[in-house]
Amino acid sequence: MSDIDRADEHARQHPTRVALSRPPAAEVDAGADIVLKVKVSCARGCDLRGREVEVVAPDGAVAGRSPLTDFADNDNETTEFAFVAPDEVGEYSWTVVFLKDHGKDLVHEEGRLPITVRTLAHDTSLAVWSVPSPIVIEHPFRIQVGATCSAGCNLSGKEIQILDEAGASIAHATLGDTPWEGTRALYWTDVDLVAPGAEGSTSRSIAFAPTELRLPHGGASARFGFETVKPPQHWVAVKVVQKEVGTPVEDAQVRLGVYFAYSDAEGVAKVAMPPGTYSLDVLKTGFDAPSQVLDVCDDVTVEVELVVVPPENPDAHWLFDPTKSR
Amino acid sequence: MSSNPQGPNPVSRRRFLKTTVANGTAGIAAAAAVGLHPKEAEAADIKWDQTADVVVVGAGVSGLACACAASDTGASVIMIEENFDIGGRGIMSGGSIQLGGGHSLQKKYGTMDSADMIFADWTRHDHPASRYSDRDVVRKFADENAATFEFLLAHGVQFTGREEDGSGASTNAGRTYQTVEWHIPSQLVAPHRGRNGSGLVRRLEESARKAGVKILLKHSMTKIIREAPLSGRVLGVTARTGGKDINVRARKGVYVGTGGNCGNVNFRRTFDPRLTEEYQQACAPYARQSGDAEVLAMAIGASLWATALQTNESGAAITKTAHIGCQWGYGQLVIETDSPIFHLARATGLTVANWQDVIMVNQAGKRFWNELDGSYNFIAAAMAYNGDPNKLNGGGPIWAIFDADAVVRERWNPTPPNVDPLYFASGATLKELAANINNPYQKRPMPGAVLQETVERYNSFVTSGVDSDFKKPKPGFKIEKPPFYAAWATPILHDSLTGLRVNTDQQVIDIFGKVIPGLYTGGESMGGLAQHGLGRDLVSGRLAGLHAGKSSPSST
Repeated sequence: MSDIDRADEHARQHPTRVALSRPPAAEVDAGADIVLKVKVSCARGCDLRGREVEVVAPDGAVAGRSPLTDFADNDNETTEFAFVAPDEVGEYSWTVVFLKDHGKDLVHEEGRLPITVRTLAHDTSLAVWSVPSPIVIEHPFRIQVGATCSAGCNLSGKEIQILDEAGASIAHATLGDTPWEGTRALYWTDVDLVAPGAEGSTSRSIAFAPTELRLPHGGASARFGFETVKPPQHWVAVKVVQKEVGTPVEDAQVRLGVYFAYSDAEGVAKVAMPPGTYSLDVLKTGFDAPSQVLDVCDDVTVEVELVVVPPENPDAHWLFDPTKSR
Repeated sequence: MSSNPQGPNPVSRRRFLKTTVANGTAGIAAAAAVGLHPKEAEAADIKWDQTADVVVVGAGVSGLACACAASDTGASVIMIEENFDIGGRGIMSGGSIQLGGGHSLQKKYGTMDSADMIFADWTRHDHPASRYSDRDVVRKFADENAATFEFLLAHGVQFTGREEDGSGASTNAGRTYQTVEWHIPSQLVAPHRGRNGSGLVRRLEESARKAGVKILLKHSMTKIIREAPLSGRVLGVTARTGGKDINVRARKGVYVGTGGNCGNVNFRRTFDPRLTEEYQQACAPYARQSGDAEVLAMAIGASLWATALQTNESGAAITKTAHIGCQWGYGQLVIETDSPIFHLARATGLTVANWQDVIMVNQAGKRFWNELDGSYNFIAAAMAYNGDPNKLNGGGPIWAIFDADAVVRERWNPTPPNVDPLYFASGATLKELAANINNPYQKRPMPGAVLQETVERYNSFVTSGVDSDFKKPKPGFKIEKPPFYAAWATPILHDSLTGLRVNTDQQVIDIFGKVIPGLYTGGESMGGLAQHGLGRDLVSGRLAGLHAGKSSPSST
């Protein structure tokens, strides 16, 4: 019998129990941190601060460890700590272990708790923006496309594909090195395309299937659309003014069918369009204007008067107006 | 043989209770010896910690009016208020008071008005806000409008003198006047936003304190004490403060005006089962709208009344939120960073100038209605079942979804303290955004693929100019430029438009149609009149205070 065994025989022995204050997520990205918080309680309510817990893999390797730092209500707790999940997708088990602790005349028994976590391929997702519309048939145009990984992995240099409505690849581009402003890890690129030769609504999709990354990543897709139109023949100038005072209104959105433009400092929005009959609408916060119909068969200038919409009376909600109740 | 069925020399019940309650010495056995019902004897066995003629529970608008009116009669008054300060929702209101009937300010402006005109407005058959009114209550309300306005002037309330337009009156009488905001900034709860209601409640508080009204803050009513569970007089209330209970006796009457019930999830669902826990209420976190008056009065037999007023979908019972990305985004109410309750409110919110700049989705990531609509049709769609089999009632959270371009157009700064991280999320893509929504009422993760599909579809409507799903007029702006944002935009509750049954003296009526002696209510704790806010609160509170103050003290 070893000296330690003899000592055990004579020392008091307290059982311990291991539990989780904060269990790890059931699923995490492969290679990501697995975060947990552990508590250990002694059957006799001992303060075990300073001792450690370990997270042990089936092969005995220690994946993580943390000291017990808090003691309250007979529970000893670690702070939140993390260990790294395996790089491969799968289900993995570890054991959280409070090691047998030998003190003077007192032994705290080992405590164990199994945990299981599934690792997933990193989720990727896409954004596509600056899609112009309408676009003249067979004209070139540029869009911006970005991809991000749920774990923030560096995707620079990876390829994205643009597909037509039949799923055929019509363009590809490589993600740049710098994430898009305001994002953690949206790697992006410009993509140059050409509008189809027929008028109408066009839909395109984007496919992203990253390869050659250290960690497994899933693919992503997104869609975007635009209107294709005949080449313009005329200019339509819309002058937007405030009714009753006649002052120009800047930054009003002028819509003529599927055409958009914004009024400048002089209140003028210019749109190049093919001939046709269009619904003319003007949008500006705080203003209103009725829709009109405009026949375009030559260059034309039209004035639209916006009526100020008074700010909502906060108390008007409940003050009923007899003229509106019927 | 004695001719008295109680036996020779009977001790009168009244004299017994009067003596023993005053001394706090009654015992059940002693009471039983003189023929008292055991439960009645319990009421007599109470140790009173404080006593006044009139006890007012709730130091909001109606409670303060009641306290001032009761003081005017010479009655002593104690106020019980659960909050750390007075004012209730009134201190956060805009201070627009709808009172008419031909008072002095109307005369100054040459406005023709009368009690009859008010009565006609609030009993008209062709509007849902008025046709379900209790006309007895409305008649008294109309008759007392002018006198209540003069009462306010007499108690120091100041008005801006600006008459608001004549909406709200079939005869187009200008009837809404705004109070002057309170002049001491440190005593404002919602500074910088024209919350002139502070000028109403602080002036009434000032007047009440001058008259000797005692205001017990951080005292929360837990029980209305009645002689017997469903009969007898109301004797006082029990209130909890600092973990201890105290009993406050009311010789003449108890007024319960705890601000309505929108904040009581269980109670409000009495009228509308859709109103589950995710729906917040205006003026929280300052004023709870706990429903305490209603619940505790009903526990001693009080009746509800005119409940049709709550669910006829008129007025401001449920509203579209105006400030997104914070927990409480009602209307014009923004809690600024220097408010004494900002640490509770946690964010100012992002005020939406143009609902074209966002789309709104439910917790499943789907659009559900035209975002430009703020009617009850919008509210109903927001509260519709969204497919969660574990939560059939309520619509769950509603999120405003927008992009970086919308931030520029709206001139927002979508960072704390303007947004609350629990009620706001951002992401580089729409899928990432959905994964980042982490809110206690979002019971299931929003599917990222669904949100992406929703936005892609909406963007196609912008391109074509036609919203095929919900007919949003002229959908103006795509949501396409990262980063993307999700901001809490769940409908928010405001008015309690039904409550306890009262007579024209504001005495509470029980389920048997009888007055509960010694119990009064008003404001948003009463039923019978659905006029929003301050006018109703003030008239009802004042009437209750006058009646209670003039009533005979309890001889028990």
